[in-house]
Amino acid sequence: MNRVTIEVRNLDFSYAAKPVLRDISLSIEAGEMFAVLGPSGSGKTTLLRLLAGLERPSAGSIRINRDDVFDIPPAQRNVGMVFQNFSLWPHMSVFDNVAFGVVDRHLGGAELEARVAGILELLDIAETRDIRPDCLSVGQQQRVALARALVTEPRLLLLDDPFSNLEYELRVQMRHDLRLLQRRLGITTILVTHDQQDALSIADRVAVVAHGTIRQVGTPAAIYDFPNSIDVARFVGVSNFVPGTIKYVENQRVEFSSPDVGSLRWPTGRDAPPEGPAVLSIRPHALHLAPIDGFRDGRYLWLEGRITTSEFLGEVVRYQVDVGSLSVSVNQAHFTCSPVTPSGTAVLVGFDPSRARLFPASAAMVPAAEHD
Amino acid sequence: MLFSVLALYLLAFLALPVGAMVLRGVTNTEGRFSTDHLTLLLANPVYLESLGNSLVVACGAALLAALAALPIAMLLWRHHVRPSIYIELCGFLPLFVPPFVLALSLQNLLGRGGALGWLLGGDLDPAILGLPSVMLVEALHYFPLVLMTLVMTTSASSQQACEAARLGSSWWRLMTRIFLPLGMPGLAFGMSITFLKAMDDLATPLSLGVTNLLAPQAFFRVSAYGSQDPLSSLIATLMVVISALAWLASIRLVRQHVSWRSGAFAAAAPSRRQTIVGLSCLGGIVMLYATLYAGVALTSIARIWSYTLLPESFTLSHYLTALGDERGSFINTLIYCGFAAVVDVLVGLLMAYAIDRAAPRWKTGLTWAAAGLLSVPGVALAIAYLQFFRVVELPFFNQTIDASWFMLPMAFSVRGLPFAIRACTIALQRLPKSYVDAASLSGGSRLRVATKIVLPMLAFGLFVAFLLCFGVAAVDLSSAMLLVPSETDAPVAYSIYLNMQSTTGRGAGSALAVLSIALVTLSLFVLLALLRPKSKAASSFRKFVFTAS
Repeated sequence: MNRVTIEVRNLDFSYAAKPVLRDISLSIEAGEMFAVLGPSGSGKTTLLRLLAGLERPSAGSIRINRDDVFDIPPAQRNVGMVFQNFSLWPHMSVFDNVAFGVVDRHLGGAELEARVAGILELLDIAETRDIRPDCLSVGQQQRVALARALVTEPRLLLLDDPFSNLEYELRVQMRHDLRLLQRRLGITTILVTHDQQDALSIADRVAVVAHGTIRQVGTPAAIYDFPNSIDVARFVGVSNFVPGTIKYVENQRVEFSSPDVGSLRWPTGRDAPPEGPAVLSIRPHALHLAPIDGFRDGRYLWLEGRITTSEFLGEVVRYQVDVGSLSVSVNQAHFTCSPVTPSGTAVLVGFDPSRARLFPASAAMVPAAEHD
Repeated sequence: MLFSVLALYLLAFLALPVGAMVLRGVTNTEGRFSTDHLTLLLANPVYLESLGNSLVVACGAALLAALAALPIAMLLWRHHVRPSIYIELCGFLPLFVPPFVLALSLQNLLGRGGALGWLLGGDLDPAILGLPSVMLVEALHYFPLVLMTLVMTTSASSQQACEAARLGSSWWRLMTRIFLPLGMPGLAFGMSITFLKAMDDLATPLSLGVTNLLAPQAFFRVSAYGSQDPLSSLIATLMVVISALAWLASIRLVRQHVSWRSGAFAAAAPSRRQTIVGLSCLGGIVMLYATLYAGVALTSIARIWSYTLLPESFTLSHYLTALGDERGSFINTLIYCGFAAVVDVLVGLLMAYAIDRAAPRWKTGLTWAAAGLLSVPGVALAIAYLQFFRVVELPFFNQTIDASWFMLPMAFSVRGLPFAIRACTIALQRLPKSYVDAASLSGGSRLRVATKIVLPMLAFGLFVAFLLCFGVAAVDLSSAMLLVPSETDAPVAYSIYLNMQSTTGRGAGSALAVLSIALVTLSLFVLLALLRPKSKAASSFRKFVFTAS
């Protein structure tokens, strides 16, 4: 397959005079699996439809392999797309669904047959070729949708939340299979999803979209560990947010003060926000619990609190701990037969400052119209 | 281009004729606004009485049907009995059978020489009772519709109600707090249809010899003074205004959200007692209607039937006469209604598409405006056409349009349009945008996408729309009685009416009526049987009426 790069520059899109996407710029490498992650209504599906040519942008450019595709109709962009509901034509067999896109390409009967049979074989659904879509399982339907998108040998594959209709186990299996297939074919692929697990588990890079703008682009680990805004931290993973004020930042030290946690000081890098209102973000798994009278390890900053509830989640136990007027989530690894600390217990909550993030509290942005 | 044709159609066959008719009623001979005609109308006690009578009949019929339907629907709801989709469909038969057939059947049963009439001395002859009998016939005719719309909108919640009652809630509280609010859309829809149809009905009052109603008065004015009579315009305008107000009043209630899903509690099958009560109730209704229509059914096979409980001898000759002599009316019906239904499907599809593409703030308004076409009475539309097209010549035929049968299918098409739009909207919903997008992205040509994806996926929905519009047109006697240029051009419904007035007896007319009812019932059942899978068919059918957008 032809490996292509995608360049999106300053893309705007409005629906009924309301901005849906604003100033979107992206560079996607050849053969990359790129995920666009965002909540419902953030505009991610619209971005996919713009790339496919199903909508026309209000401004900006889209280049595939440096060629501007602004005026090229969808049928001629050579783009394959898997829709969220799969959109398999119910009156056609699996074979006819898949063959639809290649019938107009003047292939001979044998060649067409071989092309379709080949893609069905590749996706392990050869035995379903004469069956109608409504008689297939959801997983098989997804494979047929993928086969239909791939049979035309597209240079770009677009996936619109393809796992949202699948149950958990099938979802994990399909993610794995899709990743293997994408690597094998080397096709540049863009996946949009609202599910962070889908995005983080299979993408080479992820763009987080919120309110019609791109908030951060990076590898899954970078997005998770170093979110650049409260929106990203809130949407990717679970986080505790402690509102407060940065009293001073100097000599690579910062003092953060909050009525709930008191005044805390720690060494910081150059990325600390300036003095003023700020929000401290800490992931639940970056917090440690210790007995109230236990040893206070000097690597951590310690807060005093009281456990209010606990949830046993299997691999971890999630405690809700009241610290001042805040309720903080703390994940503790569960080991066989280790007991759950009872509610009402007074505890110390410690965190490594290097794993906490500080955001300026005034970073809120004007939301765009919600439109997926 | 297509939308220009749509606008032209709506202008030519709805807005301009109806607008011109309204203007004719409120302007003088010099074309200036004048209240002269209105003063004349109000000064004539016959018209005032007709206005009052029409309101009494329409309101009374709607109320009577609702009062009869409410306790039965409550009983079915309380006993957690949901009629099958086929029974529900029977509730919609009144839309496809003209009510005057019931009036004549009752006359055959209760008239002076009828099956029961001679025993009762003719005291209950509907033709003698006058206005109340018109009201009763309309109520009886539309009662199944009101009952089934009420059942359809409430039955999803009956299971929760049974469970809640078992947990201690009183049935009275459940009825007032759950049943009535949930049933309001169905009740309002059924009652408004009954009101509109009773207001518009021309053949039923004429069959029963009642003339002091708006529709017959407008009809007589046109017959006596010609189509340009301003008073007939004013009466027709009055009918349009009353119908529109009634429709507007019902919208707020009809457009409420209706849930088709059964409750969150575990499904419990009705008990034996519940099933017996439910089936007895439905069986009783079926028996009642079999008895009511027995007059027509028996007349259709009676050689001699006078002053006896049952006919003295039987014959099938009426059917042979009906099929032989009235072959022309069947062909006419196929031509008029087929033509009207094709126009309806094309226009309905375009309008449904336009509504679907409209901005969200316009969508609901447009949907209800389209449904509001139900409030244009057939008599009023026919008078508007007679006035508007009197001077317009039909191209290539060298005659004015009002002298041809062309106006009839066009009037039918306007009357069937609300049904067509609704059916086409459902058809379009079965073709999500992403299906067409997927085809476009696959690289198929526009023609191939249209022929291989769009048309096959819409075909069934459009077929349903066609049948629906055909059925609605086939019973539209109010327009037909004014617009049919001659008896040889009459459709079946009008031929039934004419044969029922025949001096040679009602045998052939009754045979025609029985054949028509059988044909309509069979068509509806075949249509439903074709719908697969069954659950989706039922869901689509139930959503047809009540889902706004």
